[in-house]
Amino acid sequence: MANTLASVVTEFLIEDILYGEAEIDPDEDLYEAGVLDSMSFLRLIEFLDHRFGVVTDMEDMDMARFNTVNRVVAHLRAMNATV
Amino acid sequence: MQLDWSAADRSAHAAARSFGATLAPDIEARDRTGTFDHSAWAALAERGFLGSFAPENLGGGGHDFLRTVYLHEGLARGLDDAGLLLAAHAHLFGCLPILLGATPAQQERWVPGLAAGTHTYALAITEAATGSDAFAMTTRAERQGDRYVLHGEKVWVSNGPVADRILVFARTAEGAPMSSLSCFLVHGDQDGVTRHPDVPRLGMRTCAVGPVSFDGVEVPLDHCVGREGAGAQLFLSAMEHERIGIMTAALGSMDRLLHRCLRHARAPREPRAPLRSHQAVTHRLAALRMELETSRLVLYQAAWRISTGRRAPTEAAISKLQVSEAHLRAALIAIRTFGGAGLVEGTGIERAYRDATCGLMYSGTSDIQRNTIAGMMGI
Repeated sequence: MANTLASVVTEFLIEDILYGEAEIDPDEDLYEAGVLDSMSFLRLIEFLDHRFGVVTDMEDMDMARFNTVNRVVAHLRAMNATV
Repeated sequence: MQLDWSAADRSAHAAARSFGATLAPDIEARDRTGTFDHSAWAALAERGFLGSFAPENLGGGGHDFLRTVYLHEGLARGLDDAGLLLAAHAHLFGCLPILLGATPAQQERWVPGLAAGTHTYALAITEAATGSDAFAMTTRAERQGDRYVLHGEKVWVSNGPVADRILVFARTAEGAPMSSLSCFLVHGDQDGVTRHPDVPRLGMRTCAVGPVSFDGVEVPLDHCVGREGAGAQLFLSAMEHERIGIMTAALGSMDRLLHRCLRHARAPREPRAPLRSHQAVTHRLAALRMELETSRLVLYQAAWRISTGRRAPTEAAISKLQVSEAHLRAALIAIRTFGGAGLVEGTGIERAYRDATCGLMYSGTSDIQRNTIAGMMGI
């Protein structure tokens, strides 16, 4: 299956944040599910920079704007990121 | 130095990693038997990794050196077969004398087969009697009419036992190395060429490495790579590239080891707490991360210099020394993290330690890198 923005982000969350088998619904709240916290949020921001070249401004670093996979993907699309 | 990868670069890096992860499912068994994976070699060729740096019009990927390093780091992050990576890098980076110094006509003849992986290349420099003092080599090429005749023996030739194209450095005159050495392309099946069997050894076992002897091998004049007598300059320039490029394998391995350790440290250990609850463990893994990131910095700085047309003898030596030594320290951290399990065959951890140890030897030992660094400071 071809990679999509959602699949790449989800793979990062599962492999590099959760370190193992897990499922993440694209609309699931990542904080309530225990996937993201303050430190792993910074890791997600770092990943978006390394993988997609998307640099997130301090003003945009509102954790609530990145609280689901679909919202992260929407941010990436707004920044013209491609797989 | 500025590293600002494009979206296409990032995608290609990620694709290289995913592709690499498909290639070595049977690595533990092949490591035990020292078996080279021909189908994986063909797959690497098919995906362009055996000619990344070669010009596009000659069948290569046409990538500049910095992008080549980035793609090969991605490949190495996915591909858990240090021997196969050594073979691929000995082929591509080891044969840079062709890409850097061969005439346009020679490149047209030789590069397509190199880039496509139709031929397997090896670089033959080291000799048993002179070891790391490469320029004291005694292998000799004497000009006799319309050919050179080659006599001598090289050791530690990566791909040597299987290569059908061998780049050989030999003495063509007496005197100072900078005017007395030359580089030749020899076919592996020529009369007088003996490719000795793979040498059983500690690590990187899936790459065939062994001596190659040359006993009166007749070499056409136009198989002298570039100009006669320019071998030392070619060697030095090629080594700058090789020492950087070949260490992408160690970066990939360190990154993979780090990820495995992190997973292990976070895993439940009922009724005991996960390893990550112990600061002794988390600090070791922080150290591993620092080993990886400092290694990346020096390696990419050196690659950037080469890519922008600068020379990088000091930076290449620092890269080789830092990355290879950091790799070994990282593998030891992984063993400490896994405890006794890290010593067990089949886990991949002890294999990484054995492979990392070999990294201190090839492409110039750690002491040779220190000699270069010191020499470049005038001492």
